[in-house]
Order: sequence, then structure tokens, then C-alpha cells
Amino acid sequence: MSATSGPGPTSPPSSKRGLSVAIAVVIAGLIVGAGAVALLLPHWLASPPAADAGTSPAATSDARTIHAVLFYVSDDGSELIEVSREVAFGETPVDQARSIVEAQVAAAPPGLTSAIPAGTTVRSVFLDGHGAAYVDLSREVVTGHTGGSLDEALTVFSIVNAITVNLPDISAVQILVDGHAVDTLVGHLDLRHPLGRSLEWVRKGQ
Amino acid sequence: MTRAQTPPPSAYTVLGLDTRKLLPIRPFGTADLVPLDQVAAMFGVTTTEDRPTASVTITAKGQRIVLTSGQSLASVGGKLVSLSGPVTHDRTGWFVPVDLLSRILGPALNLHIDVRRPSHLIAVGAASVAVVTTRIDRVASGARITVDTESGVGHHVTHDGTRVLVQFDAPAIDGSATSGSAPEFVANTHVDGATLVIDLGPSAAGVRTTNSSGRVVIDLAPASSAPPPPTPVTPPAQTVAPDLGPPAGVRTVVLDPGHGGADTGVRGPHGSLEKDVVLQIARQVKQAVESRLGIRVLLTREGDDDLPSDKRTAFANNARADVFISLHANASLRASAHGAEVFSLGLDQYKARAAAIGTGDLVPVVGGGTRLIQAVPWELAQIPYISRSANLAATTLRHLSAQNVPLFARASEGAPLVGLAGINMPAILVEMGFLSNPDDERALTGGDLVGSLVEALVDTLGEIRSSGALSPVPGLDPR
Repeated sequence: MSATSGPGPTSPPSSKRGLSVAIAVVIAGLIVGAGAVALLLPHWLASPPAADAGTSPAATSDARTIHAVLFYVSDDGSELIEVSREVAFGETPVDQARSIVEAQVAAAPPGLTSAIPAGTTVRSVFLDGHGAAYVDLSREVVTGHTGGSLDEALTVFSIVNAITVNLPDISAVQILVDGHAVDTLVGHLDLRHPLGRSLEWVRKGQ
Repeated sequence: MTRAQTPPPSAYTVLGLDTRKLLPIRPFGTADLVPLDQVAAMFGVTTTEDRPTASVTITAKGQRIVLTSGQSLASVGGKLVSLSGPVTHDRTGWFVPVDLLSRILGPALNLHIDVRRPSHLIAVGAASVAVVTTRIDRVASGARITVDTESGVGHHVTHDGTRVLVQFDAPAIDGSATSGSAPEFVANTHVDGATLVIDLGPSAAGVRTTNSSGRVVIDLAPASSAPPPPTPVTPPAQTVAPDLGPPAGVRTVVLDPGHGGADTGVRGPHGSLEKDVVLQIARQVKQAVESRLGIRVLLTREGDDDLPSDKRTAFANNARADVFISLHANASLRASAHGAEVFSLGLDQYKARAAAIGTGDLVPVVGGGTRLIQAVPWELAQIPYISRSANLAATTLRHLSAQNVPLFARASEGAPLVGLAGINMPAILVEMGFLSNPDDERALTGGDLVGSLVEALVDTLGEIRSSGALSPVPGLDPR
């Protein structure tokens, strides 16, 4: 689901890019000589495209991480527990939100149970500029769900809390499915509007 | 009362077109199928059959609706929409589930189409169908029939010896909501167009009717006694109840069996489906509450219908019920999770929008004076009832516990539930147990737990009826 699309160092150049490279090589050769070309060429190809706002930080060469609190199902299934995890650093708020959601949606580490159905992926994440985030998930979040009010609440609030707890500037999250607004995931939780952080579903005193 | 004496209608009556029209019904399991060629002619849409793929495409205002033979689905602009039954075709033509009209064709044509399956009516556009509810109660002197309808719909009552006819000033009526019975006094009731026909039983010798706006009361007395004295007619909210009838506090309860149709809800480890389990229990609760408390109980769905939450909400609000209880079965990733849980609407997620509702406006009324009118968005209608619903949840929980129904670790919860947010009365959602737990599944599908759940809900309604436990808690509701 990564939105990263920039060419890597070994990517075959397109014809347009090849022309650019050729021009760059000629200009560079005129100015600094053939030795400088050998230094500049790999750097130029590895740069991300200019318009790259949707790039997932997890897929960049940036290995920086942040501490984030993610949420998993307690042993008795009655609530969420907080777990501190390392997630990829995002350059922008939307990148960081996506990085956190992708970590939350990914398969749980050994010993933990995710409230989000296996196979669910993050289609996109975007912000409205007024404190709300929109998280578009793949349909597996519905088709793979066990059902029931309780588990639906744990699914929804593990996503909502993961973003709102770690990114204080985001106060509410609306979950979309396959690009569409939905009333609920499996018939109970009201997803018609963005939901705010709710720690009522999280074990106290951790 | 026996309703089986009246054969089921063989056609839907379509109201709101140039003339009243009929759509013949072809039953298929629990679904009603109607001929597509007649639907197309009625609504001016075109159909194109594609024999190689056994599909037919409806084109409505440029939108393509693709139906495939044998599938309970329609593709609408690439998006799948489930239907109550399969599309079929034979040498006589194509047949489609009737809910295609309301769920797909109406939105495509930007036309309001309301399909009322119990009463076999389809209202198109501005056509309205008056909802008529009928309750039959035994009273000391015989039986009493109480017929309620929306205020403003006029009516005329006639009596010809063996039948009582209540004729309404409406294009048609939906008279499917009937409760109670006294067969020796009321042999049968059925609707004929805009007339409610009441066939009297052998014991009904004396008939006395009293009318008021929105209500008809028909007292039936046996041959050996004089008809009961006239009953002062008052508006419905203030009407004196019959001998065994409920006090004004709780007269009508709507029970909402969750899920239905393609939406099966939770599937238990032994294959039980939530939609079936909750419907069975809802029927038992209805029978027990009506027979023991005399409270009218309406179910949002009587069969395996896929009913969106806004339809359930509209049903409860239109019925002017006093209490709404949605019945569900829970699920957990942990198979050990078990026990019942009661939800009411949590206010936290609605605070900002609740604050925007404001305190209302003073509006002049006919005859002088003013009245405070507060505009509450329909999807937030539950907000003024938050504390009463919390009271209802607490009372329910207490009676579940008293009946030894196992309770979940988080037995009571406030949550942003779409099925409660628009309900215009105290409302709760009861998760009766975890269908994902093998023991709970067994107990909910024939075990002793069902009886205990029914008793707990009867006791809950009995208590709030007599104690007024649903009175608002000062200061808790946001208005």
C-alpha cells in the first residue's frame, strides 16, 4: 500500500528521464568534468520526485523512528491494552499519521492480539486541516470481522486512539472503507462522523 | 385474533403514480419477487438482457444497475448492493426482489419509494401511507379494541352486525401493527385499502365506539351483559387505560432484533447466526410482555429482513413507542469472553453537535401564546434521552443479574451506537451473550438462558411501567 513511487538507483530510466540524464551529464561534464558526473549521477536518481506528499515514510530510506503507543486486545478480550512500539518517522503530519496507522493495522507482534482483522490494509490517510484525520481501510476490515458491539468498538478505537493519542494535533478520526464513508463496520459503531479519542476502552493504570 | 383466515395478498399496491397499480408477487423463500418488466414500465426505465451472462441491465437516468440471475446482489455503478432474495428469470421474464425498488431504483431515480412488506404497499414520491396500530385487550366486561393512527388522519366508523369497519381518510393504511387477542370477541382483522375491517367473534353482542382525533376505542360486550359505560375520549397520551392495559408511562415497546438478511451478524462456533438467535428471542419476549403486562410490543422485523438502521429508527419513532430495546449477540476474539452486556448511547462522541442544538425558539401558536420549539437533528434524536436510557440500562442490568444471567466483565457501557443515536425515546442495546463462546452459544440457542433473559426483560418493563424509572435525571440530559 506504499505510495512511494520514486525511482531507485537501479531503476531503468524512462526516455524523458534518460534525456534529462544525458543533458545533466553533458552540462556536468562541461563544468566539473567527468569525475564529478560519477559523484552526482547516483545522488540525482535517488532523490524522491518533487510531488511526493503521499510518500509513506516507512518505505523511504529514512530509518528514523519514533516511540508510539499502539493498542491491542487484552487477555480477557474486554478492553484494549497500550503497548509502546517503534514506528517509522514521518516528515509531515500526514506521513506520521499514516506510519502509525500502518503499524497499528499490521499483524501484531508475537504475544499480542490485534483488534483489526487480518489482511486489512491502509488505502490512504488524509487530514482536513481542522484536526480530523480520515483513514481509508481495505474491505477486509469488514469482511474479516468477527462482529459484535464489543469487538467492533475495539477495532474502531484502536485506530482512533492510535492517531489521537500519538498526534495531539489530531482530535478526531473517521474511518472509511474502500474509499467510501460507511455508517458502521459491522452494524453497531457510529462511523458517520469523525470519532474522538476514547480511553474508556483502554485498561486503566498501565 | 387469527390473521391466517385472510389469504396473503397476491400483489403489492403501488400508490403515488397516476393511478393505483398492482405488482403481482412471486414468493421466493422469505423474499417477495416482482416482475421486472412491470417495474420498468411503471417507472419508465429501460432493461437490456444479456443472455450469455444470464444478466439484465436496468438503465435509470443514465445509471446502470446490473442484475445476475440467481444472485441476491445488484451492481450499481460498480458498487454491490445486497437484496433480500435472488434475482430469477424464466421463460415468462425476469423477477426481482421488491426491495430493489426502495434500495436501488428509488435512489437512482432520485425518487422516494417506500416498500412496506407487511402491508404490501409501495408508496412513491409524496404518497403517504397512514400507519394504523391496533391493540386488543381483554377487560372485565368483555374486550376493547384500541385503534391509533397519526393525528390529522380522519376516520369514520360503521357497524353492520358482524363487522366493524374503520374507514380512514387516506390513500391507504399500513395496518400491520396489531397486538393482543380475544378470539371470542374479535375473530379476525384485516386491511382493505384504507379500511380496517374487524370481524366480530361469537361473543361480541354489544358494540360501543368512541372517537377522538387519532384514536378509536371499540368496546365489545358479551350477550349477557350490557355494553360497558361510555369511555371519555381524550387524546392518546392521556387516555385512560383498559383494565389490564398499561399505565400511560409505557404503552408501546419496540423490540429490534439485530441484523437480518445478508447481514448475518456473528456466526457461532457451532454455526448459529446472530440474526436468527435474536429474532427467536425477540418473539418470545414479545409474547411474554404482551400476555403478562398488556404492553403492546412491535418488532422492527418479523422475518429474515435486511433492514438498515435508519429504517429501524424510523419504525420506532413513527410508532410513537415509549421504549426501544435492540437485541444482539456479542463476539470476541477471545473465546473465553462470555456474559451479557447492556449499552446505551454514550454522549462523549456527540457533545459538540449536541451543544450546537441550542435551547430552542419561542414560536407563536394558534389561539395565542407561544411554545418552545427545539430543533434536534433526526440523527441525534436520542440525545435528550441520554440519562433516561442510562436508567433503563441500569434497570435492565439489575434484572438480568436477579435472573442469574451471567454478565460480561464490562456489563454496562455507553457507546456511539448508530442504532440508538436517532431513537426518539429511551433506548438500549442488549448484547445477550457471546455467540463466539461455545457455552453462551448453546445457552442462547435453546438453553435455560433464554427463559432467564425473557424474564429479566419482562421484569424490567414491568418495573419501569409502575415506577416511572424512565423519568429524566435533572441536569444529566443536555437540554
